[in-house]
Amino acid sequence: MSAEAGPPLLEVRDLRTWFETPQGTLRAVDGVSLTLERGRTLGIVGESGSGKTVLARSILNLLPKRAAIPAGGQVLFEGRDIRGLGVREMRRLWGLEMGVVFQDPMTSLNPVVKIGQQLTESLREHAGVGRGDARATAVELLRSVGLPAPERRLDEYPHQLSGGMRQRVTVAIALSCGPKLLIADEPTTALDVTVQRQILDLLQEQQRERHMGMILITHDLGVVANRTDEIAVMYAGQVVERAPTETLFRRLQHPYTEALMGSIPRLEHRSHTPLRAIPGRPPDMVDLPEGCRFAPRCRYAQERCLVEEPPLVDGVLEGHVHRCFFPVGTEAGRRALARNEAAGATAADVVVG
Amino acid sequence: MAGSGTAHLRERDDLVLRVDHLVVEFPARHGATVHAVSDVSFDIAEGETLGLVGESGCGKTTTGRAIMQLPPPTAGSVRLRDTELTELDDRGLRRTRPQLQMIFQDPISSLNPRRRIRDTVAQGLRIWDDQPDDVATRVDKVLYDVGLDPDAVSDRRPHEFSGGQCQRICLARSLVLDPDVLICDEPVSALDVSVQAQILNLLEAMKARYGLTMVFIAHDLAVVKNVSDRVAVMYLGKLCELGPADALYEASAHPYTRSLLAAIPRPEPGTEPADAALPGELPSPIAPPSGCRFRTRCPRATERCAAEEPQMRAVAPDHFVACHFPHTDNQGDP
Repeated sequence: MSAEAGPPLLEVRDLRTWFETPQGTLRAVDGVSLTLERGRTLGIVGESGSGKTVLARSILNLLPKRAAIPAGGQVLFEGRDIRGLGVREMRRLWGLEMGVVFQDPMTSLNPVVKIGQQLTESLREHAGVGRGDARATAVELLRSVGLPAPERRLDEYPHQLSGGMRQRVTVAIALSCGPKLLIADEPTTALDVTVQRQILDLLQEQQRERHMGMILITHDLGVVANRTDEIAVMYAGQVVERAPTETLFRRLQHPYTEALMGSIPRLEHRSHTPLRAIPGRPPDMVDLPEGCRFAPRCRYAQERCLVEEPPLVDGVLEGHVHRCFFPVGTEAGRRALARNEAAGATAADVVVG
Repeated sequence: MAGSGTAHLRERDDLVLRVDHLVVEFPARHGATVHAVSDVSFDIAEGETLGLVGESGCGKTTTGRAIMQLPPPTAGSVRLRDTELTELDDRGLRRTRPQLQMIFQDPISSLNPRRRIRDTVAQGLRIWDDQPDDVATRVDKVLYDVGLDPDAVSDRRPHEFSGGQCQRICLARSLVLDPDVLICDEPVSALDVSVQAQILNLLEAMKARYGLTMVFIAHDLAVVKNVSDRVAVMYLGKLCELGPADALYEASAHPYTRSLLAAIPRPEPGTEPADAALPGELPSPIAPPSGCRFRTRCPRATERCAAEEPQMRAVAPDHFVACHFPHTDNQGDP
């Protein structure tokens, strides 16, 4: 894969982030492992509550110390475990090495500070750039993210820009110190499709140009299909399947990934084509089911899935891992489905027609 | 103000809803006017679903609300079967409400948090003096129809339910009145993909069971295509194109429709769109461009587009476009 020597840019090992709640312990991220090399893009896909945002914030060490329990695992940034680092050291990392773009640019920008000042803050703080140089760099940055009339924008406030323009500004801020890692958490969810397209193009172009490692987090499989090298699918706090992008779409193996694909309305289908909806709802993260977390909604579920938790195992193709005893596209999977179809229901009493 | 034409309106006996030259304007600061919807016309036949699609600010929600007379439009006509809604007084309008129901984007905030589900759903039936005596039975039946267990949910309150379940409750609240027309304003945009599919399938099933005619408003073209018979594409308060759902996607004629379709990220590798992204942003609805409102971002625009507003005209049977230079090639399977 990568010919570069040394440790990978980012390595997440068996990461667990839990929260103490009045209802009990909420296992938001529960045993996630990932690797990201420089110059590569990793997509993380999951529905709300799957733990993808907590995962991103755990990687960034951006979780409230009082609420979150680092229940185990490591986050290695260039080989160094950053999980235990204090705020001082993290500030340096956030400033210089890691950039982040969040979903809602209106809340991630300060409404009462001019664009220019927000943009140059970390440059002056971390890169030791003087006032005049910072302004010139800021203009350059705004131009590179495609903001028209950048000189004028520096003296404007966020509310004077449209949603798409604001997101361009947050991208510029994230890129200002030339980070090695860029995390984009649902960067286009609040935007219209034509603007989403512009912002995704921009992120991809900047990632390539700067040879950054990028993590693109989204609930939309369409967003990651053509813009990532590898994809991790999350469900109930775990990565249930991880594979190179091509492989995931051509030879997916986890029933949840299959079900997710089946529930997306497709443009190429005729109108009124019934969707293959996933029955039920994601589990209560405080009271997780025994065995496989997806089993209560899965078409393939057998008795074993209800009592034994499937470990992460290698799939058919290289670089492909999944958590399933009866994976899609294998003999075991075919038999499990045939058995459920014959019985009319799964071991968890989900009707299979 | 120039019109967008009415060539796409049909002469049929089974029209349930007909919107003619609808204009909705709002006052803005310094005496300016927001032109939210400017001369939009369409009709919907019995049992049809019309999809209204476009990006934020295109006027699709305002159009939906103007049909409901919430608020009444600035000009134009909205006919529900033989009733002209814009001429009704408050009481007359309230009397027609049971025939014309609506569900919204955020199902949780459109339910009263303090009211039990049973009472929320029954409210529409109880509001009149002549309320039926089988309210409880009807409420149970409709809850069951939308996939909820009446015994388990009736006494609970909205906060105990997920977004998808709340949307089912909202749907039950509308359906209990046995409406003719259901207007759905972005009913699935706040939901996760797996739940979205459940609700879309449910809407299709309820449409058949309750004999509904629907207006389905959404920004996601794939979602709109899935449930609609005909689709109308809006841009900055105007109709661009209207046609059968399948034809509109296979042979879209308006450059804006093509840009929208090209911008949709597809869940298949190797489908990266070849065309460049649509440049620029939506112009202000306070001072919309002259002539064709899309011309400032259109790759095909000429001087004619600035001078003369395009009128709706047929490009194929039941397929209409408001453009001086429409695409005429079949784009086939994208």
